[in-house]
Amino acid sequence: MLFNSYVFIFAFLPVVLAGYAWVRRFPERRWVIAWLVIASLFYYAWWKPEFLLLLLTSVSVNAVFGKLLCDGRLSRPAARAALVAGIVFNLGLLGYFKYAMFFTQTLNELFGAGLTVPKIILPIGISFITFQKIAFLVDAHRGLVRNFTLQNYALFVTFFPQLIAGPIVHHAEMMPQFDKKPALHEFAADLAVGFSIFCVGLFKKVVVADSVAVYADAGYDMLKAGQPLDFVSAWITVLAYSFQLYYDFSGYSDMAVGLGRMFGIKLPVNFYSPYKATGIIDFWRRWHITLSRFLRDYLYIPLGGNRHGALRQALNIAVVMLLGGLWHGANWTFVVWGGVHGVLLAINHAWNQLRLSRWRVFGSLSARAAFVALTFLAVTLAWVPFRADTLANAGQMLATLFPTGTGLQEIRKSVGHFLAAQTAVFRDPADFGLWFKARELWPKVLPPDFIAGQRPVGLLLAGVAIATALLPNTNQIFGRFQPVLGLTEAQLVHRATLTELDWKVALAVSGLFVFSVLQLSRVSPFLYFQF
Amino acid sequence: MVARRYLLSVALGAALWCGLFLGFTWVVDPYGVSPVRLRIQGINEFKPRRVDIDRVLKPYEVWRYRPKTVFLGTSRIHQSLDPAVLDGTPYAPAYNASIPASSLGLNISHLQQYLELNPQLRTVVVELFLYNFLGQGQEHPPKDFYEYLRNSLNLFISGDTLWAAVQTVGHNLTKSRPAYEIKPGGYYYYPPGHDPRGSFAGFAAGIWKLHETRTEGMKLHEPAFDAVRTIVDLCRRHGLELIFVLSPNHAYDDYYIEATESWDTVQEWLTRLSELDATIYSFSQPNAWVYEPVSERMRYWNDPYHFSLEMGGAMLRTLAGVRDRGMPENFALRLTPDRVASHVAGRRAAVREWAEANPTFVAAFQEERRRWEDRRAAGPDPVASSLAVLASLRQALAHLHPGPSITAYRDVTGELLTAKAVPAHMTAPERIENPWGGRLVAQIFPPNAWGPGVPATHNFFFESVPKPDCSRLVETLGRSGEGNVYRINIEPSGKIHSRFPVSGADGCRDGENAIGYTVVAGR
Repeated sequence: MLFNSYVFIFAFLPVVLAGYAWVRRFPERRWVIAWLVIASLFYYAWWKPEFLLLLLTSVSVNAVFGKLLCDGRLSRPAARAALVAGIVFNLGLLGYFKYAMFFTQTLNELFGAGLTVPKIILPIGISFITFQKIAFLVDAHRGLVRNFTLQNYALFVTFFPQLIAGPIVHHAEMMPQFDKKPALHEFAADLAVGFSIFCVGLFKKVVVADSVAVYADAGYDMLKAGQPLDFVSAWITVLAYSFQLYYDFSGYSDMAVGLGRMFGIKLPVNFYSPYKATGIIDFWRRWHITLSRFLRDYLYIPLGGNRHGALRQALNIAVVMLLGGLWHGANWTFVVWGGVHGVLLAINHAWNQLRLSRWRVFGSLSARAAFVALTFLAVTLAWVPFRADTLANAGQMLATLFPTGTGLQEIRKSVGHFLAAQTAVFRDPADFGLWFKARELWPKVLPPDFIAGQRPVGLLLAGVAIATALLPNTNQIFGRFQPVLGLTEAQLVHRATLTELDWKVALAVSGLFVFSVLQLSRVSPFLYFQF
Repeated sequence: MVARRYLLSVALGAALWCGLFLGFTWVVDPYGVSPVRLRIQGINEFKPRRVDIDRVLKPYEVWRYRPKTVFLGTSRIHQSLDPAVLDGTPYAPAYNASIPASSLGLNISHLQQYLELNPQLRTVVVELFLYNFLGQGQEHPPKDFYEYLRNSLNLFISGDTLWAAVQTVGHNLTKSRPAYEIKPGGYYYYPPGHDPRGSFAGFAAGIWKLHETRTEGMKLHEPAFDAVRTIVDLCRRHGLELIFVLSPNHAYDDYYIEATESWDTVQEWLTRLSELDATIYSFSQPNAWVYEPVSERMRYWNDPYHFSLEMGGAMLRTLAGVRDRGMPENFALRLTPDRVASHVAGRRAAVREWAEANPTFVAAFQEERRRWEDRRAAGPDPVASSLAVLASLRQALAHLHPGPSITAYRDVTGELLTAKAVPAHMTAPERIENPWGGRLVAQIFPPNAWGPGVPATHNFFFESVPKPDCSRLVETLGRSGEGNVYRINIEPSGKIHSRFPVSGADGCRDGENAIGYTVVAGR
């Protein structure tokens, strides 16, 4: 049950909200917690009921380890053993479901081991909740967790807005909220703020991300099929994917934040205009912030962080980023992606050490704009191995993006074709009839320059790029309503920050909602070749 | 601060936006389903987006218009039967519920659905088309009511409806001319000015390509007869009048039957059908309308397989008991077992006579046949043939486009590269590297990609070849005898209008959009 589905928006959410509105009137807070846990478990079971048992087992086992570590009765070695056992349990589950096939395949390829494993379905959200549970156990071992109830712990792990795609929440920011009983009048305000943020996220996901995804998917499908792409089509593909991923994840995070708020719970900030970052270090402070935070607190710092010299720091960064890459998916492409970011981070750190970097000229607006562009370009190119199915495909895509030899002569022709197609409507308004041609009606095998000739891909990407560069982010728009945890007052304030949720905002929000919901349904064209 | 009635404002705002959306889309009415039914010149007079959505549209319109008569069949019925012809007859109101490329099995599924949606249904007219009986799948899974509901709602409330409305206004404001569209009666409309010559010229090459897919030859397929019996049974159980229609066959197709010596198959087919307890009308008797000579503006044919609204109108009037002035004497025939033999004999004699009068067509047809026989004799050898083709292509193109200037055949016309129901990644597993480093599309479709038993197929496409280059290319490739060069006409909308072979250097013309080169393994 995706957030962007009819069943979630028009059935699950209203029912859960209605139930919440009712039980929150009860004097005891535990009814609210119980209701949200039940709703979250139902939400998880909707996907595959059999995995509910896995989730419940995992929550129970972790709660036992947590209790053991919290109550302070274990000796130091026993506590350490309990922590190790808990971490092994969690990583064991993750390793089995997510990485068993990958490692088996790698061993088979390297050594001809001939190992076989059954086809394993990856339980949704396991990567996210594994990190949450490990952080909880580590902090319990450190004495940073006070006593907790099973109910609260279950909600901390399973709270449905963050269950399947994050943010990776921390117990210290979630558990205290569960015990706080908000005033009755706050419900309407939370619902208003939460629903408004949810609509912005829904629009980002359904309208923006899904629109550009058409071109990204087409290009990478061609790559997978071994079909050539021309120069501009390749660039459109990688740019479209860069924006698709951004708006997809950012939209989903906004929806999660909005949903949490509807139930009076603030989630941590996960996105803060990452494509406005002026460097890779800055990028990782803005992109998937809760993952960066986890990796920093529970991997980078325990490894030594920057405390043992530049070389060791670079090594630590490399380890963290490689593992971070592998966390995203069981494929060498993700490892390479993590490695690339590790290298970029090391370069960025090295640059920051240079006295040159502190010259005034690099603080000017134009220099900052250039840094933003450069960072965006680096991040976008790094997405190539992230999205490609194989490293070979990634290499092929990069070779198309940066042609050499005879390929250089194709650039002019490719650009000419692209410009002619994108401006055709200005020469002949009837060209508008070719806009938004349904993907189902595209040929199954696309010629190399097909994507560059699609209308209105140029206009769409330009519009999305301008919006990304100039518009404030959701946290800034709703800054006065404290939408998320973890941002400073300065980060929440923007000249476009709303001062009041009034009828004008309501009109805009409802417009986003209606338009997004309309985009959820499609008139599927008749496909002649399906018969 | 949150205003006191903010959530109420959101709800009212949503209602307002929904109202604006519905107001706009119902007025523009891109799919022709609006309850408002406004027709505003320059805004929504023509509906270019009411096309390609038959599966979604027709169940809804059968429910909405409650026709007493529905027509079922393939694109031949789709393009020819305007139900308004039956207005004023006991069959009215009628509706053309045909779906292009539909099998008899799919007709069963739809008929079952229509019976559930429309209790007023009394008469069903079903097309009988020979090629539906030659090995086509006849599955007929029941239609899902939820799917129907979802599809129908999407016609009214979806983002696509909004975009379609915007495009409809755009078309009417900028072009203001008729478009290909499904008219209110459910039939497909060709805008005026259609020139069918290209499709007739491509018939010989096309039919032999198609023939290659008929691995069992012209053998009748039992599931199709089962499907016909199911339709008969279904109609009987629901008390419906059932009329089967043997649609007209142009001389071109009758000549194919003659050339493949398949008249016995036709006779067996018709005999078995005529023995059914059902009414069958044949409109395939040879006459001046059915064998209409090919010209720039044809009255009775859109292309060699699809007859026109004019022909369809005459057929419907005949069914309603009205006889058109000037109608050929033998235009309609109530088919009974005792009339089958004479009917087949008449067609056979007529097409032989026609062939004697049309030697140019016969020569082109036999040439294509010879090529097909050569291909069949050579047998499938994808690797050898691809290398040979590539060598030939390289030789030919070296004169025309030195260096890496060969470009891909592009844009929506790339659908020529599409194989039936074959995923993209399966169509080019053995893609040939382009030796020039350019963007020539060279593909090998794997065996069976186009149907059971069809050998691997190779395609090469490149765009906008000027006439002199085209002529030299045809000469060079023609000498190698390794494939066919096609001239391809593309409509402004991007659809392929026609594709026909260039048999000689003088076959190239200025102004053609593209040229393609196709070879089947073994050549």
